[in-house]
Amino acid sequence: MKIIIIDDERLARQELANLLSEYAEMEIVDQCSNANDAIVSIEKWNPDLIFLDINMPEKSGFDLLMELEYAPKVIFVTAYDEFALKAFEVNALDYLLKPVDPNRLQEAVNRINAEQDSIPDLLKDQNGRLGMNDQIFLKDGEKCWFVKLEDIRLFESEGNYVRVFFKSFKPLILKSLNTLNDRLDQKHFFRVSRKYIVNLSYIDKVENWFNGGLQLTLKNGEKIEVSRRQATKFKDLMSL
Amino acid sequence: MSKAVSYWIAQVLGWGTLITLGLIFQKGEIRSEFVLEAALFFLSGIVITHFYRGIIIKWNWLTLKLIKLIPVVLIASILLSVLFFSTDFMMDYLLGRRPVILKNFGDLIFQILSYAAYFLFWSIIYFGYHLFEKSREQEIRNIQLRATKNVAELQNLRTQLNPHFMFNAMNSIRALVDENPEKAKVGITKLSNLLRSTLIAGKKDLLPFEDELDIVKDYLDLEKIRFEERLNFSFDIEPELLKRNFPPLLLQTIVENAVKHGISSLSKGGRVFISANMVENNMIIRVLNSGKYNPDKRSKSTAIGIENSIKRLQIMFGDQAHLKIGNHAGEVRTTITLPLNE
Repeated sequence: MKIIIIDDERLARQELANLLSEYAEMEIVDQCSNANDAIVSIEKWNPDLIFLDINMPEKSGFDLLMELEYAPKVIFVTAYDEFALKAFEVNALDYLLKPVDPNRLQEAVNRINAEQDSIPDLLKDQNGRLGMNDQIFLKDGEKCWFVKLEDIRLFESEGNYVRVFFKSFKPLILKSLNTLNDRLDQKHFFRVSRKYIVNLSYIDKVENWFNGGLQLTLKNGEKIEVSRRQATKFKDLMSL
Repeated sequence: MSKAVSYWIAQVLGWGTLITLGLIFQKGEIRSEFVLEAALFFLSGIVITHFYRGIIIKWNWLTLKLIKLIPVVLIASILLSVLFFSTDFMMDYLLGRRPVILKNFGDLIFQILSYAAYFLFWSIIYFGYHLFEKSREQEIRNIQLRATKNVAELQNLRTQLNPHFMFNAMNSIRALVDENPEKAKVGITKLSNLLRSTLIAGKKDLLPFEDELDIVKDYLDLEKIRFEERLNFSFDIEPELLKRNFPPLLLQTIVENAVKHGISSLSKGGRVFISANMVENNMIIRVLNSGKYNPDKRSKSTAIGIENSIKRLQIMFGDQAHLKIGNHAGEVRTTITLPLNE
């Protein structure tokens, strides 16, 4: 398992590396002292897991995650920051408190290993695109989420931003719908118009609409129009 | 002197003065019947107003709003005056003297109104005194309230070691155990010293400035272990000030902020410089740190730390002490001014 440690303090990185040396399967491919170096390193190494400090100068751990295309598996490491951790929904993340308790680290590593094994191959990365089990990091004001792609039903373009619809939430991310579309798995996500990308498994009903377009009704009742140009492609895709 | 005693003294003096004035300005020579009449006047005045006081207490007139009290007192004065007049009349009759026969209704009204003026005057003194007493008691209560509030607040405002710092320090020391055991030992000693002295200092109102400096030095040494080359610090302290009293952990709070914003938020780190000088009768402490002060961007905990320090100084020294933060020559400068009264 490829690992990157990100912390602005040398001794903190050192300490974590010492603790991880107990685990043969954990290969520390890089250590970074700031968010900018980490972004480059993550893109280079494509790690399975990162240990991430939340409080870092200039860019925090959260800022780093928001700049990534997708969020790798993350274990947050922080000294004492209840406030930051409360931003997450219950059990949505794994975190370790400094100084790290070796037993807690063992638990976290076990959990990561278990998750890694349970992912069916079908859902894993193909051709550099994101798998349905990959998660993205979302932040809306004080709230944060790690959301798996399979839980997202809709992406809506809003200027330079994309609004992400999942459960009852719809935070914005600073990305274009085009770049997002290039990264999404075409078997599961479909660009229905200039404005929307829909998760196919959330479609409940398909109806003919004006001008040869289509109207989709999602499982929660939301209605989305498919443009005429995309309707043909959509019909092809569905008939297959 | 108890309130009851003052009341009776006021009664006797008040009515006594009135009678004496009446006798002095009496036309002609003073005859014995005048004295008797004056004595009766004196007695019935006291008895009637004492009865009036009973009513005031029983019906709680002291708690009435002024706007209600004024008509009540006016009516009461007139009624009392009628009572007084009737008593006077009856006394004269009982003593077998010729009562004063008023010639017409207008004279009667005039007589009653002039008596009413006495009772009105009596009421003004009585209610005025109580109003004054009440406001004074209120003031004392306010002062007591403020004092207890200040004590409680001071206890709250005394800072404790920031847990974030503590855990980070222990984390660094844990890493040092393998890398540099000697340094790790020093770190543990410093951390224990710091813990102990902040526990002790936190219970005191004042401590010698040198003790505060020891705390700050231990703190900075520990942060130096954590931030390594990113943190540099130096002191320039006028030796004269070492024995002077200082509010515990006040400088520590400021230095902690300096490290948090000047060092831990800068990738390259920076420096902290602490100076203390005597200027006239004041102690001027300056903390300079790298970085930029931006009051809008500072975190909630920082804002509270600074505001608490300002409040603490305000409570302890009033307007004689100040705490200012601002940008100065590319750095953040915090200035504490304390009076050196002792």
